[in-house]
Amino acid sequence: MKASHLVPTICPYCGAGCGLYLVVEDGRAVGLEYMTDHPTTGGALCSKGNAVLEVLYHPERLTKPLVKSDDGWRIADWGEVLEIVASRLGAIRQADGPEALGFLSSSKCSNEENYLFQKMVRTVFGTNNVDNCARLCHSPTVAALAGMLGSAAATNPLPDLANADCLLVIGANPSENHPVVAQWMMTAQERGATLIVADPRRTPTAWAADFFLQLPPGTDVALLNGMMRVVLDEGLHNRPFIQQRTSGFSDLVVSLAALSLEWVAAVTGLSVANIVQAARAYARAQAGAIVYAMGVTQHATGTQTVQACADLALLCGHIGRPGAGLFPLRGQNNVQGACDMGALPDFLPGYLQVDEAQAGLTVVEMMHAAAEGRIKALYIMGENPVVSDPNAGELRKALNKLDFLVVQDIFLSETAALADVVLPAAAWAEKEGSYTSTERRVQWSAKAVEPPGEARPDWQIVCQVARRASGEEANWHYDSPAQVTAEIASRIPFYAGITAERLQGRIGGLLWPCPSPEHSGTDILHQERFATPDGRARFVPVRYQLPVETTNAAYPFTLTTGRIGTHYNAGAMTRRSPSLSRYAPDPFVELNPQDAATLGLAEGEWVQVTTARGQVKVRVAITARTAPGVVFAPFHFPGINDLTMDALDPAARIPEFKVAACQVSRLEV
Amino acid sequence: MSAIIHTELSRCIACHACQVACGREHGGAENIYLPPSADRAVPLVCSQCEPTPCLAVCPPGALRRAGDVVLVDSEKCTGCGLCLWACPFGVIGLATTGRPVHKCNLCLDRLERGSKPACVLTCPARALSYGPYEEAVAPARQRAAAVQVQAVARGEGR
Repeated sequence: MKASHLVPTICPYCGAGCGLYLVVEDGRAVGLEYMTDHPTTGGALCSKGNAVLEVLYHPERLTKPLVKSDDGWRIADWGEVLEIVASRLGAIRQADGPEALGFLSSSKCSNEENYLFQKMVRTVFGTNNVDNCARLCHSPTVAALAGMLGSAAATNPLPDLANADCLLVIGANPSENHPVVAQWMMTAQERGATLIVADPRRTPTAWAADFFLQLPPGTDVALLNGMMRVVLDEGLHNRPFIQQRTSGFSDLVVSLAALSLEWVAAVTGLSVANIVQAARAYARAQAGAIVYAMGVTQHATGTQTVQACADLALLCGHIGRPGAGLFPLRGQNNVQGACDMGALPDFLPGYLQVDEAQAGLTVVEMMHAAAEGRIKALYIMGENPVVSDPNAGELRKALNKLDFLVVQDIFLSETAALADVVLPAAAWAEKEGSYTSTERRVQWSAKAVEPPGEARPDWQIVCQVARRASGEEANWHYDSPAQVTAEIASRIPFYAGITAERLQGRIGGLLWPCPSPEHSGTDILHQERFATPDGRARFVPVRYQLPVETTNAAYPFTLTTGRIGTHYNAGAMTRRSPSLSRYAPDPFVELNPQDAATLGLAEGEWVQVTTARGQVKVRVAITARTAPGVVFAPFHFPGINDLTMDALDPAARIPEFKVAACQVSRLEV
Repeated sequence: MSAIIHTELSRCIACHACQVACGREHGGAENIYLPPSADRAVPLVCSQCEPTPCLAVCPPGALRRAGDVVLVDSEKCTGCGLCLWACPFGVIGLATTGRPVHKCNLCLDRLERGSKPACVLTCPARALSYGPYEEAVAPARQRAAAVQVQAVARGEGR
């Protein structure tokens, strides 16, 4: 038997932060092993983690730098492309100013890579126009919780869900999209916990629910306010907690005074009895957990919906104790880290606020600016906005208008295909670095194998671009990612105790805040005080608002987008993984049997889905999972986001992905 | 009593992790199945039955029992498919190249290293376990009892 060794890595897919070993033989990853002593997973790994080797060795991996020419792609060498990138960006900056440049950092890249990227954007190119795809998912969490609690991260570690005796899962489908979380929720239920699931669809998460609240997309604020109304009416609020640890309670009471449960029932389609039962179950629990994700955040009212979730948790005193907390389920493997590292237009590393007058543009705003000619160049690292951003038809036009587009990626994605220059990057197993999961868990992912061909680790590429563009070596000389980790520790107080040495070989890493080298990390936040100036959490009352676009005669269905378990985000990785893509090889929409019958559609038939912005051809999946009148479209396929709208939440600037009006029609033969 | 893979239906979330893991471990041949369903998940895997219908019906005698596990001898298998018909759970597969058939072998090589079957290790919901029947059924009874206790506590009776 050949000698093989195990290399510990962190799964490159989602924010659950699962560890897995790659089995390396003769410089090749030939298999994987389960990390059975991982504190969050116990070695568990979802379908996508199990298929990572299909991505690593895919024949379409980018191996050479590419330059676009009239005859298509020309292979170039690194010297040439680095020169092109540095000089083109430099020239545009010279002619039109630094605000004509835009930069998208990658929430799939490591902390070290994100830190270096924003450092390059700010110190070399002189702009704050840097953002990452957190903008499209949990920017409302940052906008809402930073103000209310002083810290925007998940308050408890994921295994702590097992300690809750009531789980309120709203706008989230962890059983499908963060599958390893299911084991903790089920353990809680086996110990007697009540599971409440609020979702427009009967998802696998909802299968196990004690109370399933099937509400229409975009009505969550009405439900949450209704639940708070019940809590106040029945005197179930946690008076000592409110008195000792919060401010603004009277504002909340006043804002809910005129709310009628009958009105909430009318808006949400739920019965008053169900709303009351759910409210009582959560309020009466010893420890209640609120688990939320895109169903709460991806709205023009996303920030307000997160605020309503936090209001409910504060009202019942369910924060700062085992089993009691707020669990925003962050999507990307390092979206938490990308934000911690300041790959954001309005925050520096460690969430130091950028002066409002100097704050840069967010992702969608950059695309709008590109369409208007205000942004003339974009440097996109590990992002695929052509598939993942809203109103994608307009976005493609905007990208084509740019004077210069450079994309750094592992595949020639739909976005890379539009670029002037493509930089081939190393995949997760071909470089080392730290990644921060949704539970603030910072873990080291080791390098297992060499990158293919001329592909280079993102941290090296960023340093090389920075060196060329700035003409200086000094700030950009790093021998290894570990040196960057040390620099991060010196800049960010809550990472101060985190070094590569401490992380390497430590299964499960460290949970921040970790303020010193002796500190062993922090499990539960807000135990004694909140991270606000006065140490108290602040209630922020919110009022229900209608979605931006409602149904009408031309577009009679409510379109909502979301995820399925065997694909991942923009699909660049999973659509190239046969063991996964076979479950859903084609774009599709879910339609309720009643609607399918009315339209005379058969299972699997190709149909056209149209909104005011665009149209796509998809298959129809007929299922009672989705309510009548609602059309659910997984967004893992190019074109789905041609349908969605780029109306933005005013605080978080997240688009209204979750609600649009659409029509579904037979395809003309 | 024999150690086999047990499925806890109340925990399965139909995530397909077990299938992807099994296929990867066995050169593309998947030996655990998840029939599609809108609102239920029933993972099906070989129970290494005793008496063994597949073994009984196999004309070339390509199926044999080795302790807890029923194994396919790929040299003897003719791909006739009779075992597929005999299996009460439909968990024997016919390779797309025609022969041989493939079935769950309890990841014998992993067991020999002191590890467990890949599907068991990977299941995100802990719906799969490996061990003697009594070890699997005791927690299942406790879970069922907990459900009844909860219902009584909520005033719903039995």
